[in-house]
Amino acid sequence: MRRTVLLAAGLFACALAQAGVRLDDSLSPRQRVEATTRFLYEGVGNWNADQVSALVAQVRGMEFRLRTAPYVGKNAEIYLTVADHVSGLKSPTAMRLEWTTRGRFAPGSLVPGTRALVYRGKITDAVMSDFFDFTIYLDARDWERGLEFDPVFEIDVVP
Amino acid sequence: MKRFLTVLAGAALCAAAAMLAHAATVAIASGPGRLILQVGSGTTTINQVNISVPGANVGDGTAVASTSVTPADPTCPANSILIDAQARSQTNQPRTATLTADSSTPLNSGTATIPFTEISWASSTPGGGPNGCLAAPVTIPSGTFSGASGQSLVSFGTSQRACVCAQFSYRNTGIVSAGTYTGRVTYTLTMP
Repeated sequence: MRRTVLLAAGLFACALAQAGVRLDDSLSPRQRVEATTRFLYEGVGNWNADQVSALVAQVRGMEFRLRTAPYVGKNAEIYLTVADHVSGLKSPTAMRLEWTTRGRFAPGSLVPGTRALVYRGKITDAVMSDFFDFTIYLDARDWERGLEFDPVFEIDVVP
Repeated sequence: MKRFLTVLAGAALCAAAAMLAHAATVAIASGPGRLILQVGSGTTTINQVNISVPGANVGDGTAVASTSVTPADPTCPANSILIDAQARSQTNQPRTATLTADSSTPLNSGTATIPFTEISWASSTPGGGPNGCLAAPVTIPSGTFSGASGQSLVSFGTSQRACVCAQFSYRNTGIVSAGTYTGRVTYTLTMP
């Protein structure tokens, strides 16, 4: 009995620490995509310092397939999030992620360390999928080297 | 001991949950840097700086400033041209760009020549307008051509911009044959 209580307490603490249950996206066809930046403001122009350092990269048609089977029949919110520490970036505020979708999930934007709602409603399918077109905005002044980040989906069951 | 094992098992489950389904990764590489150099009005025409020396003053050492620029440069004051150099990098790793001039071929009028060491320029900050370099923090100093290739005019770091309006003048230090002398200076911007 005591062992069960301890285990339950541990898992509860674990759930609190994660603040949202991470969804399994291992069914997604591509686990790694690569992109290259370009200057957002090109050519001769009276650019200010922010504009001179503004970069953009695009990732088209990245499909995510989320295993939502455990939540079928429940009302839930699904969020997209990116960890606040992005490898290669000095500051999380130097990056902003925007995306559009094909309609299953909602478009939106976020900066590392935050999350954005992409779905709210009843979960009806064991696997939910959509294609994401990402546009990543970066500030060259805070970029030290090639960077990597993991878009992660979290689910919250709601009443 | 049992309690310790139970806690350990809980921690392992927690770690496993955190590692559940390794997320997809987006990897972004930096693209190349960019050099932007504009000398003159920005059209495909090469601007011509005209200097007219009165016959009575030839060789008297009194400098003569340019009397016209064709086509006129809308960004700069009359009789001067824009020199706008930008170096941009896609990371915060410092790089240095250098603007050089090649004035090794002298002005000539038939077989008579005038070395470009007789040509100077005075720099001023552009006053605004389109491409007015309002945010330019780097000045290209006033100077005199060296008459050589690879004369360094200014070096500056990435994400900076060197920008001036240059008014050219003839130093008028020697007696030369009468005639219309023409020549060309080539500017080059490099970033190793």
